[in-house]
Amino acid sequence: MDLPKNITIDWADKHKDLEYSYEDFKDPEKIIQWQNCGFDLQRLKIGLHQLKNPYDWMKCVTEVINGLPIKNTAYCIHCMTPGNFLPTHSDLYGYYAQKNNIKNIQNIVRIIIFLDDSVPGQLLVIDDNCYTNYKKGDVAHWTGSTPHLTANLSEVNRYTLQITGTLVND
Amino acid sequence: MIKKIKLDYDFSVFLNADYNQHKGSCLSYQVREQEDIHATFGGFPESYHEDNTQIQQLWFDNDVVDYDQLEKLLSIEVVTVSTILQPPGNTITMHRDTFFKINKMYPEDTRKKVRANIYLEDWAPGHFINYQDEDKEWQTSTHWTAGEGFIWDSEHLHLSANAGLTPKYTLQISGFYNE
Repeated sequence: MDLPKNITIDWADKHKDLEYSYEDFKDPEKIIQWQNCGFDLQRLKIGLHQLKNPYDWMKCVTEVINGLPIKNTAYCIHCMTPGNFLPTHSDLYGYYAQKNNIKNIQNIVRIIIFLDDSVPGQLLVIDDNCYTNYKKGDVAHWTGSTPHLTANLSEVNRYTLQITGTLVND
Repeated sequence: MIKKIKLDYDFSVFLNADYNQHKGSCLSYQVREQEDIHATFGGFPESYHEDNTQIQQLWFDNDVVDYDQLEKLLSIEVVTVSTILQPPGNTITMHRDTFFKINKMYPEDTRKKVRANIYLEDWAPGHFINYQDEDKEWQTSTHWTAGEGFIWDSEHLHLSANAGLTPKYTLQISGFYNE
């Protein structure tokens, strides 16, 4: 799937004023593995702001996403506070796959849009590609069980927009 | 100054050492002494604490490690040698090296103080160092092989993290740079 490398984000800092809920990562086996390696459970979290529908002010993104060959789009804004990690893992898509009756998770695509310029220490690694010096609006993505890792080792919150979709050939 | 290096050396003395002798955090020092760095980000975040900024650091004297050999290999008049085990889930937050021990031992010496920061093992996924290059642009160091590393002075900010599942080992050789 061809994705733009950058989408112009025109809503300033609205994402910073939203409320985020911090829940445990949804793969208990991974949590145990990471804790056994020494990770602090309290630092294995991302703040989630789930959206039933994207806000009107997100039109600059939705217009691009609506033109992609994906369906069942789900939007979520993430806030990762400093010192948090999600070590290498593959997404399970439990709720999303069930809700949309997806049999093969390899047809699920996750698109990440960085909502601010990067600050040193903010990392996203997809497979073997490390995203560090990114700009506001830069786009990354993976499909299915592609392993990825994210960490915020900076001193400010890291905000990203996550869009989950199903490739239309599913 | 900053320079990429590759040190050809037998690291077994460092890797076979007992790292359970020490556990600590540089956090309080870095927050107190390097306030200017954190001020640019609005202050030091509360989500860092002693438990997610841990290191296990060992020091090696001249009778255990041949400082003269290291001087020949690195062009550094060696003053201190230490190694750090960074456990998974820990960060050494953004800081500059201040050469505290050297300044204490040689307060009048104005020669260029540097640190060689050398990876003791091949890179493992989740191991990172972020550093400012010669243009003060931020770079990320990954996929290294044992013996690779940098020599830098106090001008280059850097941070280090272990988001992997295995300990990260580095060697720090500090001293005066033979220019």
